[in-house]
Amino acid sequence: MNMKKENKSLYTKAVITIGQLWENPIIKGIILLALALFVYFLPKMATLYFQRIAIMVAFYAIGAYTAVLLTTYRGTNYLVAVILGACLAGAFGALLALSTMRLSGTYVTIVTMAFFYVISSIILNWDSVTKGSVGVLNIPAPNLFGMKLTMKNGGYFYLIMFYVALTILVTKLVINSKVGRAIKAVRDDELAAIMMGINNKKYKIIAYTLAAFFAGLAGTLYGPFMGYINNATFNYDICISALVIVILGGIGTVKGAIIGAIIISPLGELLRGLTTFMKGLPEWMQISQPEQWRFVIYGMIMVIMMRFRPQGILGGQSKLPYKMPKGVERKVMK
Amino acid sequence: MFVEQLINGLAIGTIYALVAVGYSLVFGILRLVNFTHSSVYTLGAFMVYVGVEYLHLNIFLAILFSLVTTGFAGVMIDKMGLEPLRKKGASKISAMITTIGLSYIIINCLNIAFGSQIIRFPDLFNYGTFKLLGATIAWQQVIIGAVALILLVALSIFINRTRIGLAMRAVQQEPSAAAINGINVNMIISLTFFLGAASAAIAGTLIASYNQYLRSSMGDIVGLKAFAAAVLGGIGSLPGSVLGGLIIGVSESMAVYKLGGSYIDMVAFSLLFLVLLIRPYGILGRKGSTKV
Repeated sequence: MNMKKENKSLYTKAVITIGQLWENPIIKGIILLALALFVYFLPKMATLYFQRIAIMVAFYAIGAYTAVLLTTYRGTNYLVAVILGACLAGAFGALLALSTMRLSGTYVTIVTMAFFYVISSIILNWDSVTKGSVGVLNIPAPNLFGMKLTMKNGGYFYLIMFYVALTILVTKLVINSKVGRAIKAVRDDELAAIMMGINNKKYKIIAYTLAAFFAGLAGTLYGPFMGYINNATFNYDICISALVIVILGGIGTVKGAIIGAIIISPLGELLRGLTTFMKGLPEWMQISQPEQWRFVIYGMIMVIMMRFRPQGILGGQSKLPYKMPKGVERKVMK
Repeated sequence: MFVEQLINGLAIGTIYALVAVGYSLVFGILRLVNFTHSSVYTLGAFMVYVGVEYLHLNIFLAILFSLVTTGFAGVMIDKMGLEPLRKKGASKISAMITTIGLSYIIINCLNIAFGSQIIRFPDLFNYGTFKLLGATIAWQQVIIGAVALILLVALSIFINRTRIGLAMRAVQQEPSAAAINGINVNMIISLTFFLGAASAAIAGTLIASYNQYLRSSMGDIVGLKAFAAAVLGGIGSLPGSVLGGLIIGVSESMAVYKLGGSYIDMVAFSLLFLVLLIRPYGILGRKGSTKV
């Protein structure tokens, strides 16, 4: 009798956890997606994927802090704060592009990682502005034209969806424009691009600025969603999550980033759900630290993907015919 | 105060140098930034802890145990993670992401096994203090610096004076030419990983006994600073790594002396930033030519 009851409660627990599974991860996943999307743009040099993500998180933090501090303590209009946050992140992007211009390979990696550490160190230590490790509490919900958008009335969810749609749209537009092609050329083979007369410095700055701008935009979403940020919010774990999304889905494709975000983001909640679910099982079968297991799984995904499918699930060469810009005709020589 | 901070900086600097040499060795041979290095450093300290606490070994036996197991872990990282990629001819980025993944696996397994909190670590070199030029200096700092220095000298003798060291330098120059001359390239690479891991294990143990605690996240910041040191001196060059480590160690302790402790982590990176703006290839690094 008792046994049956326990089984039933286990079952309901499982259903409830699966239901909860999709609430947070959608939001987190979307924010991460917006973050991962623009990784595409940063110049590719010998060793840079990880570093790209690390600086994206730094820009993300800049955007988040700017918007949150302005809305919480100055009462600035939400839209103005968001735009300022994204623009400040973009400005830092341009600054970083300028300062790494003369470096190559490993040297860029370490400088950008250093940039990440300097930013997080400033967040931790500039107590009078950022509130250090205490963090910013009671971040107000965004207020658009007199309408309060919260998680409860669903408005915030739509706002995030709007941002992501905007990010995807702009990514697509830029990729298919002259600027996007130039950035891609510099990214794939800088020397060849220079030979073709592309101003590599100019396009590097544009790429960094754009990527930083959108990472900052993604950052402005995070504060009102959690209601609370501190220095520990922006750490390497976010870098790793975004990196795993991109690797799993396929580096350099929009579709890949979306698929990766869909698969990866519920993993944390899934493992947490599994932990509660496993409470009824014998001790050796229980999972005690879901967060740590999540990162072990992330590590395994990275190792296994690199070993067997380095281009990601959807990566690889595009089979579609290359879309020519207006006024250019395709002539096939045989 | 000044002399004390200087000695302290030199002691910490030699440890950064010891870790930086590990980065440099692997980078010299594989042209790869080995992100597992900081987790191997943590693993080394934890293995000493395991030897003392769980296997009830004498401290020196525990260090030996840690050297062997951690070195072996380094070899496994190469054999299981990187060698298949080399055989497949995968890109450098794949290898680098694999090392990031492996380091995440190692650190989080340590986290699962020992928890993420601070664990007390035995104080190995507590021999009190002595006076020098009116400053009070702990023997501990001197011993730590001396051990790291002896290891650095031993490593450089090994690389510059022995036959295996010659083979290592040959592989560093040109792997395929080395293979034609009868050098087992994969074995040399594994040996390099063993040396790097063992020196990182020693460095981790020294730092853990200096701080008297260890935790699974202790490698993060040290690993990054040592990497910064390697890059500052010119990555791939051993004297460069040592120089970079010492510069970062001393400038950090000078920053503590002048500015106070809260911005200590920024000093290394700001310094790196400035040096690279002036010398984009590090202090002792050579400018490579771009092959088309």
